[in-house]
Amino acid sequence: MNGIETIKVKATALRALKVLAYLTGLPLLLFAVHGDAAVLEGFGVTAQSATNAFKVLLACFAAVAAVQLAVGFAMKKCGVMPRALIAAVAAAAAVIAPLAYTEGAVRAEFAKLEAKYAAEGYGFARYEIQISDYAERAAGHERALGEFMSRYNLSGTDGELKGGNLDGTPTASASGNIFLNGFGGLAHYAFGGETGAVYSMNGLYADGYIFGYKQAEYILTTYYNIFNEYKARGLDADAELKKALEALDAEDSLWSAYRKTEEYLRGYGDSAVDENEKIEIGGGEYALYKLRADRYYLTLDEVKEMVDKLFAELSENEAMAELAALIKGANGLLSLDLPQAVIDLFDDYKNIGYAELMDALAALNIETDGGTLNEETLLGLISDYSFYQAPSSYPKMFFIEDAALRDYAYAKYLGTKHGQTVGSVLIGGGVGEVTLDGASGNSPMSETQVISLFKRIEIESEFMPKYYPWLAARDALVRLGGLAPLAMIIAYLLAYAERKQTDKITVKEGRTV
Amino acid sequence: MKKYNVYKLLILLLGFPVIAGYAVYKSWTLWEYNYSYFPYLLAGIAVLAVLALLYYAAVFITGAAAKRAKSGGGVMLSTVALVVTGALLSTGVWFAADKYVPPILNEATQYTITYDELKEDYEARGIAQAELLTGFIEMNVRNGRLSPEKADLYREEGYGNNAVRELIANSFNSFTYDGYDSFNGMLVSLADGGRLTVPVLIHLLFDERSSPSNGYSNYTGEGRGEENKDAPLSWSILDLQGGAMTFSIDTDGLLPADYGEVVDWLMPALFGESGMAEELLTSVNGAIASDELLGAPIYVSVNYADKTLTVSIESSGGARGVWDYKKMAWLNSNHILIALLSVFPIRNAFYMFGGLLALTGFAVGCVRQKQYARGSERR
Repeated sequence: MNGIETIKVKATALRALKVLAYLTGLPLLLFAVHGDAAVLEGFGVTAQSATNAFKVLLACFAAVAAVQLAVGFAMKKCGVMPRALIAAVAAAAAVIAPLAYTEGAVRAEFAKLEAKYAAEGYGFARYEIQISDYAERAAGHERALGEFMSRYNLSGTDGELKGGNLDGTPTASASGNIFLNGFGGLAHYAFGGETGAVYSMNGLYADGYIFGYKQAEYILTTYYNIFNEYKARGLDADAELKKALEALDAEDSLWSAYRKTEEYLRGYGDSAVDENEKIEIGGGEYALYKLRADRYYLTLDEVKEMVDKLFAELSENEAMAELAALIKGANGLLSLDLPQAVIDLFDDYKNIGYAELMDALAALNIETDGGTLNEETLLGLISDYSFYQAPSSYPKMFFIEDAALRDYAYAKYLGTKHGQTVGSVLIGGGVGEVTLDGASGNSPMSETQVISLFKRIEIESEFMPKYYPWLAARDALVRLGGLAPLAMIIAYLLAYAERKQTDKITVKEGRTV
Repeated sequence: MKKYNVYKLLILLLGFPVIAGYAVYKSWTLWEYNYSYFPYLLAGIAVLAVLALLYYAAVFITGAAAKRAKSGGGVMLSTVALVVTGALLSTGVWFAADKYVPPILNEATQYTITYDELKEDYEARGIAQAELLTGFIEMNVRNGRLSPEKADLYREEGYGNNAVRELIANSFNSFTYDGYDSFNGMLVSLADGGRLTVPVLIHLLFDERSSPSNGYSNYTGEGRGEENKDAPLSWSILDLQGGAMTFSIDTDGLLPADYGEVVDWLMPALFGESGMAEELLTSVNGAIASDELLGAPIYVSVNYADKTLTVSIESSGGARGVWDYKKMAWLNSNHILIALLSVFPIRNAFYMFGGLLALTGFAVGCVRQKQYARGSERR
């Protein structure tokens, strides 16, 4: 290797070291900040704002680079030391300024928040604590929310519409223009309009609308608040609701008047209409027969028909004769006598139908939680699971005069009946998805738990996205910030040394490399 | 000069043939299980062949260019061209495939099978798809829709057998037109979305359904008398969803204390050796299939033990020779799926060994360079 070659090798090594030194400064810091931000990006609550601090730092570091460039041009004649010094000061400023923001402004803000949130019953930890465990706190927020969501089987923050309405009538957001016009001076009403749910024309949620967190929060908060208001007045909201609904049955009520309108009758009237006659609803055409609510639940006639068919099939079965003999022979064997209606039923087992069955059932006089088991309670049981509220007319509860009680009625209806259908029961002994298999659903959270969870989610969604990106950045700034000015100076010195080497080549070869 | 050609040949053997060999090795299980889809299985090989043709064309063209080159730089240029072609044909093509194929596949299968699921797990999926076919044949040999006398032939020929192929298509069409399409879309999307609640189930079972839109109702197996062969046969939601629902009722305390004694006496008599319950259930199941009730068979079975009544309602799909709807949809397009699956071993072989094409291309270029140098020395 000749002299020039050696110098070239030295110059290359110095150049490599210079780059390395530079990279250990601000670029490494940026990389670390980005890594911490990525952790926050993984949590729903901070996902949107996770890189906010990173972006500010990026801008600061770009400013440092601009200063370096400017100094490089303006101070060409000066030695390396003044330039290195200015660059190092700029780098230090770019690190200290954001640190000063977190240590000063954010810390002060935390002190204020601690007092504010304490008043709301939320234990807000001090700055010194949150700077080291912010990631666990964000994860804890995520877990609590996730647990609630899965317990109540909710779909995202804003809910989700699966396929619109059963009868095909239109759906829209609360600000849509499909809605009915109210009735008899009563303005149209959409429950919880500000939560962003999807509605039917009558202001109820669309049939296939699955609650999101926001809707569940609104429904449960409304339900508990009004229940407690009544309780404070020494009243039972459920009993009051029942009374209010019964009052609407009066001849002169608004509800009774509404039931005579075409709007109501197209869903619930006798089927004396031309089945294929079309009407226009919310800008679309609908065949009248499709709007009939009884197409979408089991009617008494259908139940009768089914029971009759079932026993017609059974009457052909030889085992029925055996069963009849067994039952008729039971009276001597057992300590109680079977009612005559039951004996008669099996005596004439070839002719069992719906009517005979109901007679026998009534004669058995079986007491259940829902009263004596008879035709009425049985049909009540069926209608618990098979019912349909036509989306194209107002439900009875729309006509409740007391605004709070009406809210309560809607919240309860959505939290139970609507929730039952879409697999997201909010109110009752079993919540979430109630299926045949796991008949009871999940166990509900208590009112206190639910309300304090809502408060927690609300508060944390306020401060976590705002400050946590800065706490994350602070972490990296504290760990690596000190390196930045140092690395900058070293990089300048190495650049200087490299220059010295290349100058030698210029001298030796009489040309520049 | 000959030895250079030998070098080049040896080097080229290290490139494409290694990739092809590995791809074939990784395809073997898929082929073994799905041989009855023979022509479709060749899709992967076809892709491999096209890429091989392109690559060897590139080898040939750059070789000719190198020979005609007037300078060392010209030879270098042909080397660069070969290396770039190698890289494009290996990693490049599959990068593009990974970007553009997933949306098409995911849409086509309505996200029931995704590209990401298949790309590494194609072998297990291939076996599962093969089992859909063998299971389908067995179900239908059992219920007589496929003649039991020819059972071995069906098993042997699989998808290659006309009767099997037709039965798959007919079953799926009947399932679609008399089943899936006849339900209200909102209810189906709730059920498919894991929200088959009691009200949704009751709606799906008892609500009026739209009538079959065309004549695909050629199912003639169990539950279908000779006399109403042409009438549409419905499928219940349980057939579409597959599986069974079981729920238990504790009979202790179900009725008031007075009747406890009756229950304790009646239940064992019904469910005992008399076989009365079973006998009665055949009538119940018969009634369910009638138009007054569901219009499609569902099997209700009841068991009583330890004062607990266990009721299960079960799809009649198995007895009627169909998988659930999702699996039937897969089975119906199995040939396409298997053609697609056969490409994945090729893809993975290229991702793993694609670098070899660039490397061997470069090595060949080096030999050409040497050849050129020798040539110009002689000149």
